[in-house]
Amino acid sequence: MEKKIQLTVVLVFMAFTGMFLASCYPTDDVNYSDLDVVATIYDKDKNFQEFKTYLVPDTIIHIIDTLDDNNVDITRKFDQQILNLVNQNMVNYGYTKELEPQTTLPDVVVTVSITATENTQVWSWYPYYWGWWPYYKSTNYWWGYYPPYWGGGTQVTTYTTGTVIMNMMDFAEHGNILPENDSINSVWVGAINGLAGASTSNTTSRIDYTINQAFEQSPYLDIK
Amino acid sequence: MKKILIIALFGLFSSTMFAQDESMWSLTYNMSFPMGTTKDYISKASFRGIALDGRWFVDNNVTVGGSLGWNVFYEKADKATITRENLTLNGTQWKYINAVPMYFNAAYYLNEGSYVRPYFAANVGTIFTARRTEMGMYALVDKEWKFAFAPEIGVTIQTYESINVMFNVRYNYGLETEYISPLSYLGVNVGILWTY
Repeated sequence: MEKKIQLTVVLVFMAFTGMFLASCYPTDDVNYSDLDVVATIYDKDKNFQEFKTYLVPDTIIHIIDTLDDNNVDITRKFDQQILNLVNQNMVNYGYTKELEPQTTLPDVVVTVSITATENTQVWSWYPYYWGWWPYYKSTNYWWGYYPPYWGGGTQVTTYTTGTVIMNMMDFAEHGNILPENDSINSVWVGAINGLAGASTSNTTSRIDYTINQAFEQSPYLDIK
Repeated sequence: MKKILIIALFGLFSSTMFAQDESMWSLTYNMSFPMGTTKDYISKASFRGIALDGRWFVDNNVTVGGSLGWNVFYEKADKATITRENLTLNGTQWKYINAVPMYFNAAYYLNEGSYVRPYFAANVGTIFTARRTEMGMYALVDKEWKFAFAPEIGVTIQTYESINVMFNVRYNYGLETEYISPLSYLGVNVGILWTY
């Protein structure tokens, strides 16, 4: 009788332990879009109502570390889509595009740049199963101990993360000074970080969502 | 119906349980329902929980002992937005609380000598609390020891031979610490009990 109770306890304990080994940090399926983060930060002392005109340079700056062997080539496939979205959101918030930037400086300039990094991650795991004591009811006998199954291992994966940075600079305050002689303040920065490598249609919809979200979560930019 | 009543009466007034036993051990499966500020962080109930509890009789109705438990809370929040001062973050969040309550306890049992013994207990100790918020490819992790207490009501039932079951409801409260707001959840626990 005593043994039977002990068996019950051991079985219940093993079942519970097995359940917990797999569930310290449970998770569901993860999509590419689940890993996108949109971060925005702004100058709290700035009154954005002072601004009226804007300019978005027509080229996205690709920031590449030329000294790094693991350089990631960034595609230009999505550049136009990103620029269109930034322009659209600025217009929606009431800014007017400066059509003659050579003669008249816009109040704000929004530059867009992209950087990508390749990351390497090493995963190690411990064996899940550590032995078993079978029990034969008919003979009330505890069979010999089965040695643990040694299933641990190591795996190396690489993944590429990309970041789109939108930087809104205050030219209204510094417009009359030569930029090379003075620093120009950023009044708003929007950064979008995510995992590269999804399909084109998936990436397109993620860009749509995240750029729009950056502006949506920054209602202080609205000058209408 | 009559039969059930007789069995129930037999259970209430028969006298075997605990009389000669010195200690009582239980292993329970725990369901936890977040409350208060814990609910603000994770609203979903937890169905991953386990606790081991040992109690020694100081007389026929009173025990003192201790327990060790583990409760895992988890919730995914799709495209959630958080703002701190002038910084705003948007993204899908995975939120976790791993709570490991360690208590000293004292309990008082009613119905001395019966198969069915309701009881009430007080638990005092600490809850090791690991809170993890994952967003994108980043994680914010806080690990703290909270001073904690937990009032508890329950019942122990002897079924046959010396296999017993127990059921209890315990309100766990861990005090606020530097980074983690108070931890508060209602545990509904069911398990097996054995005596020595």
